[in-house]
Amino acid sequence: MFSQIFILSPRGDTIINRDFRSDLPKSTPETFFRQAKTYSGDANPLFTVDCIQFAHIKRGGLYIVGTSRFNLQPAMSLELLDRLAKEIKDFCGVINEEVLRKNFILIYEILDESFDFGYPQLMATEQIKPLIVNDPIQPQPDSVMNSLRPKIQTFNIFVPNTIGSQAVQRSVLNKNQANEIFVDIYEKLNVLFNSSAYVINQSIEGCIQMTSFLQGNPPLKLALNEDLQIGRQQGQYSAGVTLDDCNFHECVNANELDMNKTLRIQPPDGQFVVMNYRISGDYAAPFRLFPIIEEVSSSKIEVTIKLKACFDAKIIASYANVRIPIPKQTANAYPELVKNAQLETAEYDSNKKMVEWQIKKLCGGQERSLKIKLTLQATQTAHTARKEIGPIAMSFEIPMFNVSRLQIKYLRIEERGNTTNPHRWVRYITQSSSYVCRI
Amino acid sequence: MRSNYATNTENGSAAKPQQYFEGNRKGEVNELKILVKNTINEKDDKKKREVVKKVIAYMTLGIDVSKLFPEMCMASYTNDLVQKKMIYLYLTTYAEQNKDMAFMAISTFQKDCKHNDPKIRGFALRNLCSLRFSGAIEFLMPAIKEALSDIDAYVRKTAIMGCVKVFYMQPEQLTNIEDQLYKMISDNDPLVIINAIHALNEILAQEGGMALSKKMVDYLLGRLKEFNEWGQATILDELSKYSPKDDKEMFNIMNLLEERLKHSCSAIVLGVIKIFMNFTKNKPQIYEQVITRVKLPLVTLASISEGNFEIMYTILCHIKYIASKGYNAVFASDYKSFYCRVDEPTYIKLIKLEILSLIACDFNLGDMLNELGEYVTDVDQEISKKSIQALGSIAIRLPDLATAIVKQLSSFVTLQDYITNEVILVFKDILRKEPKHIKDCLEIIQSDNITDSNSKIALIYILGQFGSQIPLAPYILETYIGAQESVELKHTLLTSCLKVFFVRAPEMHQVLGKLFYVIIDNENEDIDLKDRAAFYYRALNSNPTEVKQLWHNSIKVDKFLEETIINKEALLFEFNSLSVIYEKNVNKFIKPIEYFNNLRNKELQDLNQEQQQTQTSAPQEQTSDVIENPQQQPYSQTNDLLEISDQPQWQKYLSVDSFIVNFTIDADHFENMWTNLNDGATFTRMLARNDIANETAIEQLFKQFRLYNIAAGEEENVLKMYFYGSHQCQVFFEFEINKNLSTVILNTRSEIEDQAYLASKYVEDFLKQVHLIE
Repeated sequence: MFSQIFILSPRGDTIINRDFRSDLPKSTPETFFRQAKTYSGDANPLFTVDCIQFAHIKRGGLYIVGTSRFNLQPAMSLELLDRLAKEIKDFCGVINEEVLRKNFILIYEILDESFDFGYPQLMATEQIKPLIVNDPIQPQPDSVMNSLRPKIQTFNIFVPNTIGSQAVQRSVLNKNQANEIFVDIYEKLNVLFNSSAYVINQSIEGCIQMTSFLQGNPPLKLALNEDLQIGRQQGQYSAGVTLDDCNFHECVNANELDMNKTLRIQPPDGQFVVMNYRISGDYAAPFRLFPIIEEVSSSKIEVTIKLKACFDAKIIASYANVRIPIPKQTANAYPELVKNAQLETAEYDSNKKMVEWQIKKLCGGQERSLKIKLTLQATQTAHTARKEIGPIAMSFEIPMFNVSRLQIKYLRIEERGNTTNPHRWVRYITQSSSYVCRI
Repeated sequence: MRSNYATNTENGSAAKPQQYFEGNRKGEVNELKILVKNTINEKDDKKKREVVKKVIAYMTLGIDVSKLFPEMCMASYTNDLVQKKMIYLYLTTYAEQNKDMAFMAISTFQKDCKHNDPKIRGFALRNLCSLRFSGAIEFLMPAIKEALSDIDAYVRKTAIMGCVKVFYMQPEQLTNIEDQLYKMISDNDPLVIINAIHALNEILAQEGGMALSKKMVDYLLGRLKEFNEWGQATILDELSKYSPKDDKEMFNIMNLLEERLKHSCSAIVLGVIKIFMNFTKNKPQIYEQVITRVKLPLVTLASISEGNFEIMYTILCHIKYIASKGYNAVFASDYKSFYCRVDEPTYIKLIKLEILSLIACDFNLGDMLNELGEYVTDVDQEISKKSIQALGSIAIRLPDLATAIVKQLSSFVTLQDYITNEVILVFKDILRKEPKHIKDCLEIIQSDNITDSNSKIALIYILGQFGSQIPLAPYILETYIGAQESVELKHTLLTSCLKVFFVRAPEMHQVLGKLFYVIIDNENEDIDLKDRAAFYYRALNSNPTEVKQLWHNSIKVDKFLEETIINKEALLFEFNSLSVIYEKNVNKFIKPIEYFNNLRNKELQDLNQEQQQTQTSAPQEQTSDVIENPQQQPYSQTNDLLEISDQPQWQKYLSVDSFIVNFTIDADHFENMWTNLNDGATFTRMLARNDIANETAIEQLFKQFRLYNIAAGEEENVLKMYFYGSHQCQVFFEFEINKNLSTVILNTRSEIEDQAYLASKYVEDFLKQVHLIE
């Protein structure tokens, strides 16, 4: 099992360093960071240097690394590190460099209860909680910083940028917190359009995630759509919600799912994913993109992109960003918005050769458009350059909306004689995973 | 008598040159040491916590704070659990380097091991077992043995891990522990069971780990759901080593485990798959069914994983492994699941491309070609290159469909240089296998975008091999003659020119001549290349036809490496292990513990050398040559069995190491303590030598033994000096040499009277050593 576990900052500084077995050199953090930097993108999660095995995950820009001299079970070691990251998140509220630096003693405590001699021990937040003596130190709340968070997060991709996320960014150690539970249905959409706006590939990856602050971890009963069906048969059409496949968390008993579409849950503390599912069938894509490319002259191209929000007018997308790569030989590009455009910006990044179109709010049924005027360098003609335009990638988030129509019918707390009725917050969030239109 | 405040300033002046020579870090550590020392007696726990926290922060940064060991030992006598946890973390980290002093800490650990609260018992035992030095064993084993049958599971599971820790220190201490560990597998607590399994596997590693009977298998399977995810994964891995007695048993186990495939934890799913594969590996039909059955959960894990790309990567590696072992068709219909997504990191995209190239087949190729074609223009060059390679390997694997791929690859020629470079490399391999595709490759060969050295070699190879079908071959080859290129390229050029010469002698005659001339005439040319060129030149001169025949008889390649990739007999790795990820055999990346011990020793030596170097450059503290090195002070471990005492042996002797170096207090504190404390211990001895009975020499002598002077004065041949020092507690001395009476009187006081006595013994010993007293 693990010999050491350490956490490094994005620059390679050691924030946490715990040696469980003292059977490997002390210089492993440097060895790790040097090797990780040899990759052009992110480093492989598992690699070996000098017969030392390194397993790592990247969360909030931080490297959480385990080392070993054994032939590890790869999935288990990465799941363990992921679990550790979740524990830290449960105790500290969020996971980032500042919080870790402030709470390093607390994290050593968590580490020591989670691992002994490198073997996993107590790994559930509610099991560790009574053993922890340090209180978490919360970072200064800084609303400006929060709004500056990068759009594509390396950490949990299911952290929404908009509503109510502050509510779950807190520690399970908080003594005077409300007795409540947050249930989120996240769906990440993967859609690929070809140049004639025809869908080539589409799928949904979704999950039901809970963040529980319930006192006493009472058993829960969660009911889903009555027309839910799991497993897709060839050629069979069903009007209900059909999942291709799904899997469940350890705390879930899914025996009654087929019969009456309910899940029994023994919720642990903090954040966990009740159920993951994927759907590969057809669904109505929430956004449609219509790109038009015109060769105005041999050195000028005009790109017009129309974006249509194809969902109910009551639903509002909290943001929609469109990135359009343009030819490397572009001399200049002028993105033009329509007159009186509100909450919209379009910028040309000459280094990345990319036009970024950002829309802050978009109601269902609305249409927006953008025109980009490109001037090419003399070395390339419009005819060859137009091949280099695209693919157009879109990222967005639509709260209170889901494409699969998977729903939570009710969430019951199954404890008899319990007078207090905990708050239950249910949210639906749809995000883009890979939303691409080829030209 | 004059008051002497010099001690502090002296320390200050001593610290400065040290800082100067040893860098700021050492200075910081010294400051920290003083800080810790000064806060030990602080009442305010909050302040103390902050100081201890600072030490841990230094430790985390990798700064060596082992010098603070005595202070931290003392600080461990606290009831504040927050501090205690931090201090224990410190002590376990540095005990290895401070073996002698670690004894000081043991008594606190021992006390806590008997605490009423099981949490503290477990916590103390865990840390006691982590003190990595041999001397601890005698305290350890009794504590572990007691804890193994503790009423609380938390303590029991900690004790089991303690056994493993002892195993790596002194395995002989663990005689017959296996029986007890086997018994503990029937414990009520799942974590105790899991730890017992881990312990048995480590302790019995030589014999292949824990023994697995049918009874044990049934028992573990029956309780499987009581364990958390990691426990289940451990048990599943254990079960994968088992071989069922008959098919009935095998199917029973498999049916029982099948629903675990629905789990969201990848470790469990892979664990179950491994069991299925191991059980059925000799039954090809069932094996195939197993693979078909596990496909769905694998694909699901590979596409969801909650944004956990690392897990996704592991699953994809395993899918690739299964696909490469001849089961690629199983995944063929799921090809869209392996399309790259914009938000995925490069390592995911690369492995997906490898899977796509493995599972391509007649019905998905059309879609896949379009998709891979899109990746060729990806902004990430690595993805672009990999997708070209993927297309190439599909063309080689599916010769019937190769034409479409070759045509598509040719269409990329007008794009960026790196694309052309990669395409030509791929073409070389395709053409080696299927020469008939040359007619579709002609355009790229005439491209002038080929810039990479390896790609040029590939191009030259193609020109040589297909010289008769490429009209421009001689002229393209000619452009490379005399160019600044690698030796490897020149070798290929020579071979290719010869090949073309045999088929198109009139056009090549001059070119070849020029090549021979350039190579042979170049003084700095590679000697092998020169030899080869000279050999061909002479051979052609004497008998061209025979040379030509020799070439035509050259070996024809009919089997390609690329074909063996999809081969059931190719390297079999252990499923759900790092072998699958690295695609390497286990002995290529796993070494025995001795290898790492060597690494660690070397690292330690380097560190010591570094320290010694800085030490020699620092000013030496050496003062009096009369005094022997105090480090050699005996600290004899008497094995006198009759000496029965309820105090541990270490308390009977104080060594110089028990005292804190450069400990300081101020004069007020000293006066205060001295007047308020009772007389602890006093002795009077005869003065044996006069030569060192002066203030400076005595002060230096005491300093060597880490006792520091605070005040001194001489009146009428009576020298009176005050000293202090600190080990577990502070001790204060009044030292008097009466030269008139030839007597030496020592008066020792301390908060703990025993300690005053021990300290006075300690002083007496070293005074005897230098023969100041008899």
